[in-house]
Amino acid sequence: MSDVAAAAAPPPPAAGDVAWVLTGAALVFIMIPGLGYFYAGMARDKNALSLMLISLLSLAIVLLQWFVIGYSLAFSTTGGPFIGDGQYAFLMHVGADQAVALTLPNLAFCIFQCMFAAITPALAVGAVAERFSLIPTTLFMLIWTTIVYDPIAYWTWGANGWLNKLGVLDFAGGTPIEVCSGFAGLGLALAVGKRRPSDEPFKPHSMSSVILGTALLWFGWLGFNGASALAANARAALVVVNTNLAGAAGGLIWLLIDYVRDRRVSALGFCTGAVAGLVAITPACGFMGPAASIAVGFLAGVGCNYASRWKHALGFDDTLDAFSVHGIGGVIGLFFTGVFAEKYWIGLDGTDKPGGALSGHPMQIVYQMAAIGAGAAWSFTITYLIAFVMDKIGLSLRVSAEAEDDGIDHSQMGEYTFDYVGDRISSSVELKRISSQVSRDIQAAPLSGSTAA
Amino acid sequence: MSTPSGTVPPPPAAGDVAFVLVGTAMVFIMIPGLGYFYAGMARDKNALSLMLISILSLAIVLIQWFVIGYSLVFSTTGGPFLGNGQFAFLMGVGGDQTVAVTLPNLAFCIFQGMFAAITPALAVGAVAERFSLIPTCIFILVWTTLVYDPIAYWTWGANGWLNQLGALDFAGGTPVHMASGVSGLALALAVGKRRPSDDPPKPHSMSSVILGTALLWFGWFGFNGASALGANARAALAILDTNLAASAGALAWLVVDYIRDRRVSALGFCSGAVAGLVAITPACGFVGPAAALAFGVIAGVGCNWSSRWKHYLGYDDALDAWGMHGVGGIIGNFLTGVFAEKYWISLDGTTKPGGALSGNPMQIVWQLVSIGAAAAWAFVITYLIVKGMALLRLPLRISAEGEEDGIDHAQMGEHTFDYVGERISASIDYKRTMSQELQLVPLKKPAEVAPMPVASPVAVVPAVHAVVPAQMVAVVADPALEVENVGMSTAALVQHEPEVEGERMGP
Repeated sequence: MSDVAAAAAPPPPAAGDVAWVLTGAALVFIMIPGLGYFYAGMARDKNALSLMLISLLSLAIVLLQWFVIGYSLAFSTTGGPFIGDGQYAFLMHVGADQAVALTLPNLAFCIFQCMFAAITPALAVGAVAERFSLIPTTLFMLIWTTIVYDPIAYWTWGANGWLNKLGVLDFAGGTPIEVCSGFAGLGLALAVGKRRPSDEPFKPHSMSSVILGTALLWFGWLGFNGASALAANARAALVVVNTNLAGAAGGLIWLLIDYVRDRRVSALGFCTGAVAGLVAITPACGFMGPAASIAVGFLAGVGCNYASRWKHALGFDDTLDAFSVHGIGGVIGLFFTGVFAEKYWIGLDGTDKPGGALSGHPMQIVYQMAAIGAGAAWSFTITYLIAFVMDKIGLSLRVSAEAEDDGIDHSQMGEYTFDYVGDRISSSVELKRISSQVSRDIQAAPLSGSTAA
Repeated sequence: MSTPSGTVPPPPAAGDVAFVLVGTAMVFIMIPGLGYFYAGMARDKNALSLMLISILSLAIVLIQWFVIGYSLVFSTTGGPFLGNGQFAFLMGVGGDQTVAVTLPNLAFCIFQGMFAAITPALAVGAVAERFSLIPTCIFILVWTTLVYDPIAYWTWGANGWLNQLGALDFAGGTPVHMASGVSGLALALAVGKRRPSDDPPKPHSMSSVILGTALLWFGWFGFNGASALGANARAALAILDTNLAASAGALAWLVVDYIRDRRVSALGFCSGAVAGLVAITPACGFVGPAAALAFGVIAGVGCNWSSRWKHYLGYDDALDAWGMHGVGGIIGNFLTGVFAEKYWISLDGTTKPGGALSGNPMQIVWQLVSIGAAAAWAFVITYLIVKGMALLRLPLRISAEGEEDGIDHAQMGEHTFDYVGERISASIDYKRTMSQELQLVPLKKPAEVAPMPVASPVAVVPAVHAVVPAQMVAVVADPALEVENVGMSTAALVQHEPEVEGERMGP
């Protein structure tokens, strides 16, 4: 985000800047159902609708929390180094003034940032797909956004936030969104446990949905990153260039790795790689040039591909790769921001920062690692604790074994992505009931001449 | 696009930059939209390949655009026919306004990059259901460099000869639509027709076609509107014209189809809308709203007719890349020369003489020149690329077996939906099994045979992948096995031959 030093009163907001950021809010919005489709397509059909719904629920819950306290915790200008205060609770005093973002009315900045908060819990929940219970998960998201997302966002972007003051470079949310959700996903996966073994193979039920989701995510990302310039200027244009190049590089390299290994051209590989590239460029996009962005996308495609295999080797079930793509992708992006950031690109909108190693300031890498470490540690620990405590007080995040076998859509929703899916699942569930009933009847029948009536 | 000369331009206005950046995102979303549009019109066994090739086109062209594409198309120091290396690796592309006077160079670059990115995917639709993925990716890379970049330079490059001649093309009738459409025709002729099939080639998902049409029309607001390079009255005209032409085209096609077939066809509506959108693309900043309606009707009727030529003339332009983009682009390009008016052009201060309606019928000649040059270049070079690749043992066409099984199964191992995959795997296994010659072998007992585990009916229908057919074939083809009944189904063989050595076929 632009960090224009303001001793004098800032000029009033330019219509073009406000238009761009409001469009950006809509673009980040559409990433949320896009994520729902992305995740749902990668899961089995009996659980798909739950993933679409949890993404929309994340939006709705966080929007309300943002109004009540979230915006204030993340962006108050009168807080300490670690968390905001109640300055903007219930969006009091959030009006047309340019108190928080110099180029925008406070209201515009507020709703734009809200969308960032809204997508983040949904990212984390992907790690426990196919076994989360809807109501407890919704409650989890409410607690999590308040005690994990809001603090980390404040450290990174709050006026007095300690990472911000330290000089960490994070353009659009590598720490609060990507590292935070990724490591939260890891915490959830470890706290909730693996999926039960199943006859139905764990593979995507709808590549069509995965591609739609990827398309909406990439589309929205142009606003997620681009409008984080908080103005429609050359810096925003740089960000849009970088975002696209990183997505392309990530997608192509993952496709190539899969092809070399399996001799198949995998759409799933392309989509995952593209998202990995987009994740990694998120903290980096306003600080480096196009060539460096291609490098970041490439590194993320390779690194996250490798990381997505850790779960098999190490035995944790990060179901939809929340940790390996968002967590590790965020780490890669934040780290290489410290390497590739350059004063020239940062200066496209008049911002004055020292840049990274390429600008003769390798200390930046240390600051980036502070952000990575703090964000990962806080997110992982608190998430694990929330899940652990909820389980202990009887609000387990996990569905019952029977419900997991039948699928979340059947057991908790009674709705499915398509009617034919519902028909199939209903009849297979009935068949299971009948055959288990029959075997109980057989066992109960005595071995005498008479038969049970 | 307007290019006033002489004085230092004012710094970019935030609203103009915002609009073009939004336009970039909107052209982006047309690319998966095209994937859905094409995939829905194909058979389900090939659908995923069409979705994938669209987004692969995006990724490949974006990288090429960075390396050399932007420079070849938009360098300001090139000759009349092609740009040079001025902006290679986007060197020198920063906040300056050297290329588009209202925008930072970076914004113009990425906006235009999306135009380049969608174009090869349009062409490939002509050879849907029979292209091989990796060679097609190579084709896209070569084609964008040798066909798209030159034609775009001629049309929009500062020193491009068509631009200097005065040919009018607002948002890409020539480089995008004509180039891809004519190239599609060349591809269809060079690669050949699809093999005859029991599975009739018809759309497998109108839902996808409509989603694709919606995303294309939505994105076209940016494709045409932001080609004004500013948020002003000219952009508003372009958007108004775009929508009117799309509507008129859709309704015209719908009427033609209804008169002919007595059916209200969603496919017809969608095709007509796209035809109208294609035709208005070169014209939208030069013609008025009434003219835009005419564009839509003429393209709707004309492309409806031209998409039937393939049946009479015998080429297989599978998804009407030529019929819609080629012919639609020609119609639009030509009619621009007729309907362009000084008044509309000057909405943002641009001064050009207009077309026949403004007393400058010579404009039609310039349009015809651009049509002829682009068509000739695109056709010849595309045909040569395909033939050259075949000579280098990189044929664009998939094998006969791959074509029958479907590209999704043969090259990807993934399908749009799980039930599609199951159906295709089962039908392939069935075909393989049925085509194996079941040999009569002498009735001798095998020496030692491990008992066959009891196979449930479920095991016969493979739930997963390609491993199973080989195992099933092994059961049948091993001459040492005792085979009682030649010609029985594999299911019967499995259940009646418990001594037959075989492997479990469960999941």
